[in-house]
Formats: sequence, structure tokens, C-alpha cells
Amino acid sequence: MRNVILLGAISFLTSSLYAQEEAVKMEIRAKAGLQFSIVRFEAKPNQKIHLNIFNEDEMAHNLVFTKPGQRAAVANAALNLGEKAEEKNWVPDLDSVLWNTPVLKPGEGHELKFQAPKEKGIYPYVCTFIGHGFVMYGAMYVGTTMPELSTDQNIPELARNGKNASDSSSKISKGKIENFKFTAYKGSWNKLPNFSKLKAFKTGESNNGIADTGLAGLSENFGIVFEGEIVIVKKGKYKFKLGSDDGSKLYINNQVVVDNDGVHSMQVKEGSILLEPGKAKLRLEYFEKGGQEELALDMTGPGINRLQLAKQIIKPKKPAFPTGNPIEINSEARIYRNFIEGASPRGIGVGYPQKVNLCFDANTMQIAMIWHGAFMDGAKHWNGRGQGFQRPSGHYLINLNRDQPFAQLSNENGPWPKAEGRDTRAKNIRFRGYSLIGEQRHPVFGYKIGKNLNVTDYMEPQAGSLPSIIRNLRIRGTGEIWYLAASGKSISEDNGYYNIDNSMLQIGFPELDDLSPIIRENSGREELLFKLKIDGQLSLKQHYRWNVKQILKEHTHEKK
Amino acid sequence: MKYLLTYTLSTVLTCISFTSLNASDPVESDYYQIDQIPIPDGVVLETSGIEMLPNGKLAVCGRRGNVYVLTNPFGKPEEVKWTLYAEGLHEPLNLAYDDGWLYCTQRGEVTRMRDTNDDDRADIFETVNDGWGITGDYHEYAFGTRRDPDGNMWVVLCLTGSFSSQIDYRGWCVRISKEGELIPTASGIRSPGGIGLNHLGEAFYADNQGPWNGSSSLKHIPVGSFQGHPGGWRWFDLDAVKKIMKRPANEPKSDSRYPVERERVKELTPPALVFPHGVLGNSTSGFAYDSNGKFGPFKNQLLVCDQTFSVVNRGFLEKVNGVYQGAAFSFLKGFGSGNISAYMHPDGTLFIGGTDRGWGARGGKRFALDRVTWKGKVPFEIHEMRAKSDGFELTFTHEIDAKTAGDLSSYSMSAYTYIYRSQYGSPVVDKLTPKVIGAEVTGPKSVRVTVDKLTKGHVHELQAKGVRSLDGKPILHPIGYYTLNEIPPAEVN
Repeated sequence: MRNVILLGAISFLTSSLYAQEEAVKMEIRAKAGLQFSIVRFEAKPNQKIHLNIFNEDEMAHNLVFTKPGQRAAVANAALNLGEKAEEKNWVPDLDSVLWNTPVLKPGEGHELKFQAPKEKGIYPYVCTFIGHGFVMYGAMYVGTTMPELSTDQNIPELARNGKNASDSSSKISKGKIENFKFTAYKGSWNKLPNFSKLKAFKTGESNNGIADTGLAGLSENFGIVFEGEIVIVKKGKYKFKLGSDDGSKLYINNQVVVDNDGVHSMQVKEGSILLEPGKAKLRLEYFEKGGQEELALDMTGPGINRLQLAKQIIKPKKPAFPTGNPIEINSEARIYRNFIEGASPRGIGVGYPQKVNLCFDANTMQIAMIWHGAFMDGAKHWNGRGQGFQRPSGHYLINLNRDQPFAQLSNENGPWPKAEGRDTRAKNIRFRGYSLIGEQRHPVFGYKIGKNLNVTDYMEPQAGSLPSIIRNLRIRGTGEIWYLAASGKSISEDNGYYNIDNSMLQIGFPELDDLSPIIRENSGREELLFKLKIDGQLSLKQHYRWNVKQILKEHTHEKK
Repeated sequence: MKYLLTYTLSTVLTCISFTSLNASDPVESDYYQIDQIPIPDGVVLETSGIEMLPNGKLAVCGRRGNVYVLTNPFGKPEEVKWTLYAEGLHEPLNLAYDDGWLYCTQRGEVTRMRDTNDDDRADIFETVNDGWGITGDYHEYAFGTRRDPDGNMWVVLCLTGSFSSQIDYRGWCVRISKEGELIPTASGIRSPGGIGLNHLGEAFYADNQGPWNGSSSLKHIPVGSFQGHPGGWRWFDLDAVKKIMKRPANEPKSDSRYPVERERVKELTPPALVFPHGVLGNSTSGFAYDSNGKFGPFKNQLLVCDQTFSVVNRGFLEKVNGVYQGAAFSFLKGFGSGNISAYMHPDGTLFIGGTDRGWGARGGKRFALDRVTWKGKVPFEIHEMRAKSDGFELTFTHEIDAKTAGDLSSYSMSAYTYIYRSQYGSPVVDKLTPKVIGAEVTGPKSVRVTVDKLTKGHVHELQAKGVRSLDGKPILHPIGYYTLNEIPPAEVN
């Protein structure tokens, strides 16, 4: 102990001597899944720090250093910045904030140079952008030695477990239960019975030491108990994952470690136990009532990545939707015309370099969806026969009402034509296609209403840490037409914008001139309408943006 | 004993290989050269449409919705330059150039595109017509043609799945006029693999084995016809259809035969060319033809792709009693992937493209673009096989050896058909072995083969393995598969 202090003192002395010459230089990347690539580092008091912060994720991030113990307070204060968050880069005006980057959009970097404080301590850094602070952080140890990674409470749990995105737990090796024997019983139960009171119909041993329910030779109404020993080399905490269909229970050294009892489909539970070097006694009970039989047991621990002790393996959860062919957006907008979940079969996905995306529905001429971040993945449609609708990648997805935007109403109370069913076409509107304009090749959609009105519909992405979309509608011709800007259960005004349905969607009209919206109740919903009289040409701008308050409500990245 | 058996077997094998592949016997590659055009790294082009542009460049599109323009498409394959012209289209399955625009048929519409600012990339995508429905089922493919002599583009629309039509015009052929209007044209489509026009501007499409289709085949599409699968008949109730077409008076009965149902359902058009399933292919798709004889001796014959077999078959067609029918022959094998699209350049260069995605193909590559050129030597082949009242007349590409061509034992025939039924596909049924009773050499290149019996509706498979050319060569592909929808009347003279 004394040695450690002494060493620390020496290093402190040397470091202050050389503080002028040596700087900590490193790159910290903001990664997908709300993580920093480096979650902790050491520095000496007064040492120069040169950090290159780079955002390689698809959503915006920042990085803020705070005084010791102030991480949560700063992250929370950022959430209360409200409308000012954007201009303040999501950094609250607090003394506890030491240094920070601006909000970095995807692909942006920032150099952060400063001198480490002279006071020793653990200085947190955190992304305070829109709720990320709960999981996206790290710590700078100034003049303080870092503890063992797995016990470091100043870094996210994910990093503590050594699980960076690249570290998959898929590596698995075959283990062996020594002195393995099994005892099988017949019977129908809803819970594991007390096997010691039952008479076995079959017993046996096996050299391969793998728990296999097939050893019972039955497919229903049976139970089986596996017994043996596992060899423990290092002292430490061992984790067991037990999956079964139906019930199972794991005992190590006569203690219940995992209880996965009852009649159920494949279900995984886990538990852990401290073990000493030597042999540990294992007892695994299992029963099957009817249907499928599955039994999987994995063990991890000091020096053991993942050891398989039963016949089946615990499969990683399938991703919610197929991936593998991401359509990446660089300097130009890209189009993905296909079956997109949330739109009719005539969806036209558009991904913009501003990291905002939309799906235009060429059946109703309406924006069906808007979302942030990654655009689309072609995996569903580009593999095999490609059946089905692919959902948008990315985040903060807003599904809009797909009803056609323009219609003739018989009177002010006439019902709006609804987009019902999969391939409902807009009444009296014909899709004309699109052209790609500008350096970024943004599409401008065109359609014709009746015989006399031609519409160009141009969505202009707005860059920012929370990008948004301005829809520019230009109608040429002569006639009267209604425009449905939004509809929902409730439409409420909010500082010149309208909140739709307590969703993340906020709409506004930047240049209204002498047009004024009408909010009406019709067909059990509220509708925001404009009555347009066109004589030559008329333009209307509609802003679609994300309501920060709702994002926070729906997506505070808090640990559950 | 074991030794003896092995010995015998190897002797037999040696004999077989000697008779089937004599070193001096001609092979396809003596006459045609297939070059694989390398697709650049990082490009996935599941080639589904091929078209020449007026500037001498070749446009190709793929199922992922991309369109590339190839500079120097006739040069050395590795020197062909690829440029991305468009992307994001919805599984386009053809390309057609007309009047400054490149047309394509996407799943939901016929679209035309062009480059207006000379950066070699399309920047306008105009919807020409999107008047048919889609529900989102993967079967709902749409294939289109170039303009026919009247200015129309023909589009065939797969059913929703194999059996039913859940939305407008699934299971129909429609035409899109020059003005962009949709004209309902024919019902009865099941699952097309391609559509095109012959040298007269008549439309033919490939339909695949499945319900009401015992085997894959190529079918002629007369206006107002019924192509065999009644799954889409509900659209006879659409006003746009009612105005110009009538629902057939009778529905086809399942578990029947084509000739029987043609008597009952007057609109029913039988397949013009059956490609016997598992023999000539499993999945008939796009086709092309040589309009001026620069691709060899098969002017105006249809060169028809098969996706599964990765081959191109050849079809000779004739009209008998007003109905198209004819003979299918093997033609070329050795393509890179599952052939689905074909384009013949007027100079006699054939481009074939494809992919094996979803159905698998023998070629082995996931996707490919191949180029075929004729080496200038004429293979010894059955050029034409015409139906006669009592048999067939064969004409050859070379002068024939009168002795073998006039020898009855040079020929053998079998005849068979498929059940016309609502179930998926059909076994080969009603097998017959017509006896060859005459082989009269009628000219330096022609033979009249007579048989004891012809059966209406049957595929008549004629093997002419014994026939030799004047210089002693066997026929490169000695089997003709003739779809005998009609038996021609006896000639008066």
C-alpha cells in the first residue's frame, strides 16, 4: 500500500516537471449506440490535453467535461434548456462545466485543447445532447489511478462489462461437465417435481459431458437431472445463463443459481455465484410437458469467454428488422423506391446528407414518414425474393397521416378523403414523377390535381443538430382547393408552431403572408386546413420539425 | 467381381463419352463466343434490362433499382466503362429508349427518365402511367416492352402470389399508349418472366410453370385474349375494361387439356412455345431476335432466356390456322448467372443479363452481364421445323447428307402434354410415341418427316440424331420440341 502511494507521488512529481513537454493526445469518437470510443483515461495535474473529438455516429453529439461529481447535474440541466438548447449547443451555463465541444453533427469533428486541473480527481465527460447523458459518458482520472475496468463506477455499465459494440459475445466454446451422469423420470408436471421422491426410468453416463435432454429418449412428459462437476481455475464470480423450454433449475455447490422453472417456451434467465479454484458441484434439473424441448446452459467467468454446457446454444436475439445493406448517404440525397413500412406500396424514400429522411407516398402525395439518422437498409428487398415492407433505419421516426394533401370539399364541413387500405390512390390527383435538383440532387415531386392545377412539392432539408424539413408547395393554375397541413386527435398551438397528438411532430408555417390556417373538428379528429384560391401561382411553406420535449419524453436514454 | 464391375463400368463410360463428344464433333463455342463483361467491384447489377442508347452506349438496369451506362460496350470486356445513371427505382425489369427518353417499367409504373444537364446522370423521372395496383407482395412484378408499331408499350403484371389477383390488373397485360393512357389488353397472366416484341411488332411473353401452366412457355398475346390463368378475371368488372372487353362466356375447367378448353373458352390462347420443364429450362424469361442475319442463320427467330438453367434457347415460330406455334431448340449454355434480360444489337451482338436471386440458377454467379458474338461459322442445326398435316418439314442450316437424312432410323419421336389445371404445374402426361414412317429429302437442305399420328395440343419431340450434314457433321442440337396447337390442313398440291 505504501509503495503505491510512493509511486503515485513520484509520478506526480515527474509529471509536473514534464507537464510542459508532454501532452495527452488522443481521439475520442462518438459511436453508434450512444458510446464514446474511449470511456476513461489518465492525466496528470496540469498536463496538456489535446483531444480530437469525432462524431462517427448518425445522430448529433457533444462532449462536455464537468467538475468531479457533476455529470448528472450538468446532463439534467441541459435537458432544461428548452428552446435555447440548440443555440447553446446543449451546454448549460453552470460553473461545473469545464470544457466542451459544440454539438457535432454526424461526420463532424472538433479539437478540444485544455490543461488538466491541478486538483487531483475524477473529472467526468458526458454527451449532454438530448438525453444522451444518462448512458454516454466517461471519465478523466487526473492524478488518480484508474480502478479495474469491471469495477469502475465512473464509466457506463456497457463499458464496464467490456462490451464495446465490436466485442460480440458470440464466441462460444464447448465445455464439459466432469463425472457426468443423468437420471430421467416420466411424468407430467407444471413445475419441477421433487425428483428425489420419484423413481427414475433411465440413468446413464456420458463422456462428452454435455447436458442433452435427448438422453431421456422422450419428447414429452418427462424430467431429467444432470449431475457432475465443473473445473474452476480462477477464483471469482461466474455467471450462468440458463435457457429452457419448459422449466429448469441450476444448482452449483447445492445453491440455486438460476431458477427458470415453470411451463414456458424458450426463456433465458441468468444468475452468478462466487467460486473457488477446484471442482464445483453442478446439478441441472429439467422437465418437459409438451411441445418443443430446448435446454441451453452457458457459463462465463474469469478467463472464460463463453462455455457451452448443454446441447443447445443461446441464440443472440434477432435484430428487429433485416440489416446488412445500408443505403449510405454521402454528399447527395438518395432515393429508395420500394415497399417501406408505414407507407403504401408506392413509397419513395429520400435520404438527405443533412441526416434527415422522409418517405413520400406516391399514392396520396403525402409525406408518410420523417426520421433522423440512418436512411434505409436494402437487406429485406435485396436478399432472396425480397418479400415484405422494410422499416426505416435511423431514429426519431414520425409516422404522419397519409391522407392526400389536397382535396375539393363540398363545403367547410365536408369530410376529408381518407387513405384507407394498402394501395388507396388519391382522389383526383395524378402523380407525375420527380426531378433531382441542385448539387445534392434533392427530389422535387410533381403531381396534377384535376385538370387545372399542377403542384411541385419540394422538401428542403434543414441542417442542424436536430435537422428538420421545410416543405415548399407551389401550385400553378386556376381554381380553389383545400390543403390539409396536418391531422390528428389533437392539434395545439405552441409558440407559433403546432403540436400534433403529443407526438414528436411539430409543424409551422414560416411565410404565411395572408393565408390563415383553419383548425376544424371532423370525422372524430382535428384537422389543420388551408383554403387556397389559386389564380396563376401560389406558394406555401410548411416546416416539419421534431418537438424536443417529446423526444425527451419518448427517448430519454435512461437505463431501464 | 468388384474389379470386373468397375472395369465394365468404366468401359461403358468411355463409350458414352466417345459417342456423345467426339473430339471432332462441333460444340457451341465453335460458333458463338460468350464474354462475361466484368461488373465493377462494389456494383451489384442484377441485370434485368438492357438497351442501346443513340450515342453508342449501353444502358443496363438491375433489380436493386440502379441503371448504369456502359461506354465502349463492344470493346474488350475489361475496358468497358461503367457510369451510374440512376438509382432508387423500384425493381425495374426492362429498359426502352424512345425519343430522347429512357423508359423503364418499375413495379408500380412505367417511368421515363433523361439527363437534362449533361452530367451523364438522369435528373428527371416522369411517371408515364401508374394505372395498375400493387399491394406489396413480392410476386407483383411488372415487365414492359419497347414501343410497338402503334406506339404502345406492352406491360405484363404478375398476379398477387400464384393464385389470386388482389388489386387492379394483377394477372393482366395492359398497353400504355404514346399519350400515357392505360389500355386493358389481355387477361390470364400468371407469373411472367419477360415480355417482348417479335420482328412484326407482335407481343410475346414468358409465363412460368405454376397454376394453369403445366410447363414454362412463351405465349403470344393477341388483343383481347385470355392467357390461361383466370385469377385476374375480377377486373372484367372495372369500367375501363367493360368499355372495351367482355368477360369470356365460359371459365376454363381445371384438370383438362388445352385443346378441350380452347373449344369452350374461345379467348384462350395456347402457349406458342412450350419449353418442357426440366428439359429445356425451368423458368422462361426475356428474349431477343436478330433482325438482319448478323448473328448467324437464325434471322427473326426468338432467342429465349431461361433463368434457372442459365441458357438461351431458340424458338422457331409459325402461324397455323391463325395460331402461333413452333419448335424450341437448345441453343447456348454457359452464361454467368440466371438469364432474365436479352438485347440484340443490330450489328449482331447479343447481350444477356441476369441474376439467380430468389430462384437459383446454374450459372453460379449472383448476377452477370454477358455478351455473345457470332464467330461467322454457321453451325449445323435444324433451322426451321414446320408442322405439316402428317408430320414436319425440317430445313437445315447446311446441306444435308441425303443418305442419313432419308433414313427412317435417323429419327425418333415422342409426344406428350401437360394437364391444364388450377394446381401448381403438371407432370408430363398422355405420352405417345408417334412412329416415323417417312423421311423424304425434298431439297439440298430439307427433309419431310411423316409420322403415323399427330396429336393436337401435344409437344412433339423430334430427335434427328442420325442426320449428318453433307460434310458428315452431326446436328449441334438435334432435338426439336414442337408445340402442336393446330394441325395444318393437307396441302392441295
